[in-house]
Amino acid sequence: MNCEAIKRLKPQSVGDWVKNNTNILLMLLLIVVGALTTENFFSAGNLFNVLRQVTINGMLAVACTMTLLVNGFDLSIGHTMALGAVLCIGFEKSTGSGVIGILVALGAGLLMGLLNGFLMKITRGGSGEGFMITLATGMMAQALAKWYCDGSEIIRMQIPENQDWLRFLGQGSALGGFPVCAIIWIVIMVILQIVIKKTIFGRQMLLSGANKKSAFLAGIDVGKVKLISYAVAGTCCGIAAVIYSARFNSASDGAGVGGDFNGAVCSIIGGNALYGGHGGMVQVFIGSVTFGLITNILQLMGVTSAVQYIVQGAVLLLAINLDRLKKR
Amino acid sequence: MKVLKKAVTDYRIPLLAVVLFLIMALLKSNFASAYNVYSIADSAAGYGIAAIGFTFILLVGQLDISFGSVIALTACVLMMMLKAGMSFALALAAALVLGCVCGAITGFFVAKFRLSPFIVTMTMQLVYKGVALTITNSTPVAMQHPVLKAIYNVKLLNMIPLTFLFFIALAVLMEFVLRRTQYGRNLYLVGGNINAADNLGIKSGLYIWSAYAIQGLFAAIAGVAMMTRQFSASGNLALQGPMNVIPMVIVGGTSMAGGKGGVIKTVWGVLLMNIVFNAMTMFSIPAPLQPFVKGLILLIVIVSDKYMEHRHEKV
Repeated sequence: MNCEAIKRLKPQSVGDWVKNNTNILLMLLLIVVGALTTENFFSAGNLFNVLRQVTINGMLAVACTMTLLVNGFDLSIGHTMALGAVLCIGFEKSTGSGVIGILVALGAGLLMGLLNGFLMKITRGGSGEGFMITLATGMMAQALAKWYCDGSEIIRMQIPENQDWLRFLGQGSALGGFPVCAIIWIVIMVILQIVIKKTIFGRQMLLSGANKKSAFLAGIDVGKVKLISYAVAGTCCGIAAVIYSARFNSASDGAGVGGDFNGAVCSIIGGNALYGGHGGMVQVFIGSVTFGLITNILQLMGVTSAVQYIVQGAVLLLAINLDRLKKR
Repeated sequence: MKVLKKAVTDYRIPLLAVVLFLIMALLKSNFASAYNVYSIADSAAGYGIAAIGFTFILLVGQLDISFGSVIALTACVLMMMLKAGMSFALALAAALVLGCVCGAITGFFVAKFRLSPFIVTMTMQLVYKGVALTITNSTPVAMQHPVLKAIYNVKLLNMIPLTFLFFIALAVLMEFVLRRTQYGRNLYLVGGNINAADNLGIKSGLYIWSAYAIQGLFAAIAGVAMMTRQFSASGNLALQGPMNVIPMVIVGGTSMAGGKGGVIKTVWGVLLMNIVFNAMTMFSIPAPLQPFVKGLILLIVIVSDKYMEHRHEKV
């Protein structure tokens, strides 16, 4: 606390400010690039479109951040989303009720999160263990999704458009054209931001992420904090799954391929620390919008998806280098 | 009794592999047939060679999940050069050098910048895959090259393919490097305790870097070995490579914490896991559930390894 106060008293040079706010600068730069290359960039329609596009990755980034904050890592988020999406559509089809579909998807996400969290707890794992464990659980989730949908795409049942409220969640707009899925995403981020910054549990999360030994000595049940964070992350994947199935009306076991990477990129280029301890949902928002703009600009420039892989990889490498620079 | 105890503690995995093979042979009459032994050995060779390289990575206490894409990239380059009519030796050399360079690039970020190997290799996996897809225009490159076919046709006793013999030879060679050279001994030291290695004046960054370069080289060899049986490469080749190889190496007895293990142990891990995979097909477990079982094995292996490592810590 003292140290924090001293830091605040020290006059901040321009260089320091730039170093600490590379995420905002990168976003502003991309907005300028977008404005220069695209016509009508600042029209409401285009901005809402970008928001709609980033929602699913953004939701996965929320999940990834919850695990990053406690010095964990989650590679299973993409495949958990795929599992949730096929279950959501499948159960809606078999029971005829969208509510049951949503509950099953959220439940599947929660279970996956609890499994990851429990394994992290018994292995006393950090981000390395989290990486390996969730690599395996993600593979299992994808296999289950493939088994459930029999390796082919599973399509939602036909409902008259005016009664289809699930579709409205993914494709509709409210409050003057604002995409509904983006509203859900932002509300969840606001809630989690308050939890992280203003509650005792949030402080316990940050402390056990920054230094688990001192957190343990301060009387925090680090394993439990990890378990809860992973469970929240899994539930966020469930929400992402609901939005996915509502937006695309279909899902397959391949839905989550690359989702883990996208979530991690959004979270890290936003400025969340790789090894826990500081960060939050503001960074997730900045990172997701930045990533969405990069993808959007690349698509407008007509770059093939293979080259997009290379660019995205380069961006992530740059982001982790910046993260390291900040720590020094 | 003492001999038995020693056998169980030190030779657990070889024993398990042999016992499992015998049990399977008793349960299914065609399990021990020449054709099935051939198919086990054949599938073991490709990922087995990659597993040798991965052993080096684990020995220095690092991790690499990008080698699947390196396999794809080098195989694509090999096939494209062969298709363009270049000589086999030139294409082979290019593929091996490229693999080594890919590994060195990944290793550069890990060893010199000391970045987290997980994130770096996850990124490089995507980058190499992107390069492979770009140069092949996202279409598979297929060619029945005479040299590849000649390698494919050599079978010892009608059941051991040449690539498998090559895999064993490489394993013996690398085990020798690890056990009998100064380089190998220092590699164990860097993995076991990097601070002690630094204090002794060993350039640990260089050793970590070299391990990544070796991994890249072996990934390239694995790519060539795979081409001798499927004659077709694409950017999505060996996409599940890390998920298959990591359990093989850890089951064999190389610790994820670094500094413990060896290549011969990896060979037995490779054999055991391939017998298990083959048995899954024999008992007709539905295809979508096979990755589930693989993931479960990977999970059990990792959790038990990490649990044993950390069980005395409070948090």
